[in-house]
Amino acid sequence: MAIASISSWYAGNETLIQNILIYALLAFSVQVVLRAGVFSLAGIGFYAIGSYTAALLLKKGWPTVPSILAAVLLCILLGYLLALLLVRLRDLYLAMATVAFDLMVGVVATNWTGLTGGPLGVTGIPLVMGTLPIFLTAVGAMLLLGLLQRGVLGRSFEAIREDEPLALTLAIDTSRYRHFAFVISCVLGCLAGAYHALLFGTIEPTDAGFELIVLALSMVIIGGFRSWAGALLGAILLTWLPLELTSVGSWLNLVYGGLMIVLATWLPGGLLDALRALLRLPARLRLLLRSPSSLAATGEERG
Amino acid sequence: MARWALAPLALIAGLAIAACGSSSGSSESGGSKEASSGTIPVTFVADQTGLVSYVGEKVIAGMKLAVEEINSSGELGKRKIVLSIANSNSDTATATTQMAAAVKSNAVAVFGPALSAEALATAPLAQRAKVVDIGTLSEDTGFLPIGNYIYRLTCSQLRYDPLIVEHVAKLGLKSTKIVYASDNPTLSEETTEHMVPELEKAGVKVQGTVGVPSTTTEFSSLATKLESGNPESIGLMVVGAANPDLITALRHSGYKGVIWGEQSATAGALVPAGELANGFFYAVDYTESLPYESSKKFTELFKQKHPKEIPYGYDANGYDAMKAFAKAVSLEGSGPVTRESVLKGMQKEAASGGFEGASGKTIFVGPEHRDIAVPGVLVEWKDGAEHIVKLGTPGLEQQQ
Amino acid sequence: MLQQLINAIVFGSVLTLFSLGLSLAWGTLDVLNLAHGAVFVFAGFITYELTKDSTMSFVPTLIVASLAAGAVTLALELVAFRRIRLHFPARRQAELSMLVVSVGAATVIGEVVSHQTSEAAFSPPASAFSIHRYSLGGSVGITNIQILIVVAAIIVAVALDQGIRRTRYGRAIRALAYDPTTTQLLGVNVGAVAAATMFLAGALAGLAGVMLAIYLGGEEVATGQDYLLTAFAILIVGGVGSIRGAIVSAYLIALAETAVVAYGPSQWRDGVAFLLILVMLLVRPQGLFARRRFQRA
Repeated sequence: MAIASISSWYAGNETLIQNILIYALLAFSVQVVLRAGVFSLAGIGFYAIGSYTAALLLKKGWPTVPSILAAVLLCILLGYLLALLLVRLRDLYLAMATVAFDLMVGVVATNWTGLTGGPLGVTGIPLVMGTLPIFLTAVGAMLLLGLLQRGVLGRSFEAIREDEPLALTLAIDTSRYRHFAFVISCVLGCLAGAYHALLFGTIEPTDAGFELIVLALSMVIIGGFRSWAGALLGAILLTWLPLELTSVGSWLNLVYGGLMIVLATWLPGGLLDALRALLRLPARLRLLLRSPSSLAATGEERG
Repeated sequence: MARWALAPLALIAGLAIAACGSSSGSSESGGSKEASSGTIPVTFVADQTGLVSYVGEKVIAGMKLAVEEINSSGELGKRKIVLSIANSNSDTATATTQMAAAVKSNAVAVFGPALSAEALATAPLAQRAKVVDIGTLSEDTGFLPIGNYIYRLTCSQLRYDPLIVEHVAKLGLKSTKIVYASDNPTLSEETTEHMVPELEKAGVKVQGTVGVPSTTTEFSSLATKLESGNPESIGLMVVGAANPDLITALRHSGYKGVIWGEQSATAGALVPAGELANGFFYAVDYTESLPYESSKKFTELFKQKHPKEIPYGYDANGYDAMKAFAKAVSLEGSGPVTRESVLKGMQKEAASGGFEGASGKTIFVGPEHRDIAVPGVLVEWKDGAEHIVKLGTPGLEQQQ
Repeated sequence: MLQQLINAIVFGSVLTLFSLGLSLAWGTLDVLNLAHGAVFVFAGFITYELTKDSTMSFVPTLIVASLAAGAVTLALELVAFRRIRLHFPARRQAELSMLVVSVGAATVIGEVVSHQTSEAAFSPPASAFSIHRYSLGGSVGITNIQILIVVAAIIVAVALDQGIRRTRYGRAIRALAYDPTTTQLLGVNVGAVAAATMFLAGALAGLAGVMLAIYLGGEEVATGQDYLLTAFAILIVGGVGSIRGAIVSAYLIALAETAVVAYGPSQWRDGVAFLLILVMLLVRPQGLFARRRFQRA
């Protein structure tokens, strides 16, 4: 009985789940670099590269797994090269360079008709992807990201984000860490793109444009960029909200925009931080009753 | 260490909450799973917001108009069409999710979104669930081959190429140059594959085609390029603001020849160019002054409902898509409507010669008769309104 | 050829007007304002609203719309950017947050405009500004709005350049760009300077928006984004915070894009800007004209 209801629930929501998982991978790709203090949005460009590579190989008659693996390998290679090239850039400059890279990928995809099918994109891609591999990939990504958030590795990333010169004096090889985060980001973007192509069977060169960059960034910021859980929260919310906010109808994007302004200004840790604060509220209230002065201290440590 | 195990748990919990939330959101359709024989639930996955919301809003308006008319006229006996709108936000992910929810609901037919990426990604869901999907605007060649449940009612520019080519030749224009939106799948393919050879065949020399990204708005250098060689006419196969912007740039740089275009110039897109756009001609599905009886009826209904607005092709498409559906339902008798009966009805309708809608007499064309074609009309833009130049015949491109 | 040169100069002037405000905000306050394009379209929209049913003449319309654009950007500064600057001590976090705020603001402004215009392209009626073409011999010519754009760009560029170099306010801006904390200690009202700078940046976007609304023949919400991406390239090539660099690179990029459209594969036009951003950042991240890096990174 229970199993039957679960399976019917699953069947009815499979597409929603697939979309959430794909967007979660894309959001992770932005979160992993942001957290390391590397303001790269290159993951979106690799979303396009991944989707084209996997789809074109598959259409050439390659089996599924090698197609995806080839896409991932290509993205690791290109990602590493790009990381080497962009090593000197920081902050907004890096953001801008990676956005330019993403859009350049789009321009090439639109105009290199011989390879990519030009503006028509790729259609009729065999629908070989199921939900399980994507789910497992997402779980794997979360474990990896969780690992990167903890222990020596996690603290090193945090040090790089907060104060890079200081991290250097602590004998942290900052550029190695930055490269690592960058390549992980590229691979996650690539997987999201490849899965999307094989799941829905169609690619257009405009898929990975400025709108997708903004969407991925919004997910991470609204959810909270300090943890993978925030990125996941953002991906779930922004995939699901449009379905719920039908009453808002044509004002949907206005709500998004307003939410982004409010969160970025008052809640830089995103909704995840708000959630945590909410969970901590009873404990803090108790603390407040005992000694009001200790409240500030608990607030500080979260930073 | 154990906290790592939280990852998959968190994911499952998150997905479950989201999914439960969404199913509870659409409970009004889930609750009426045992639809009484009196209601006919259908869902339109529409671009209510986002990039092409200006199209989506109009298609929705037209479709609602048709539902009101059908329900009040008793065309389907006592049965009433209940239309749900699911917003795709002009976005493929949202569109697929909405379509999945729609095919899971008790909807007996679905209407698909406009963008070709959305249409292509959503159609397989409908095909797999064996529910008729009437695409509202997708011109993509990959759309209909997705399966036998896939229909479309599209203002396909392709059908109107002969109308334009004929008019260009009739005006005695010896030469032309064409600008097209290089990142628009339909327009770029159509320009190079169809327009150029057809014009050449009609004796109009095509001096060149120029692709530009569809976001371009500053056209002075392109205008200079187009004018060189003095072509007697210039064709614009572009979308959105590029239409008035190109006309403005061409006229301000002194071009005196004829400018023609395609149907994205409809729905008031030329208004910003003011007088400069006078004489611009293009072909559309529908224009306000169409002489057909069924068109006049639509125009009148629209005017009653929206006194301050002008009906355009997108409104007509929404209306006609719903009319096509209603005709299919009525052909299957007065029994309860099921997904299967809708498909059978559509097939009967295709075989019996289509229906009459806002755009006139409409027939089903294509290899499996799933492409719904309207007659079309060539119009000229003058002083803020479309004026009929020539009426088309449905399925014109079939005869070529 | 001559006509294409004129086209390039006019386009360069458009880009100059658009990108100077963006450069000012980033160079002085570390605000990469992605709402700049939306504010620009907003000014065009105000122009359209003011002129569509009335006979309001060109100059008052220009002033009102520019001030409105300035006010919107100022509101953004007062509501969000100021708070972020004060409360987020880590510069990296502040930059990110301000970027995100500007993305949100761009969405909000864009949605409001597209709702008011039913998502259609809009432009002021021809009666708002009657355009004439002057022939310069043969098929070469220039219109009065084109001349106006070039003149406006020159005036704004010179005024801004000299203002930053010679006035008290300009000195405060330069000090602020160099070191906000010390500037504050020196007795400069940093909040006021920042507010004035953002207002000016917005008003400049507005000025460009009004001129373009008349010149183009039709603007829509997406128009702003297209110019924004080109403006990124201008800032990077010219060197962030360098007014003269931005001016020179605006004309260089206009020339490059015109050349691609006129003589090359025009469908690659967008690629010019993106490629320039990538190449410049790889080869000379401080820009062509900045003598040393403006920012302390």
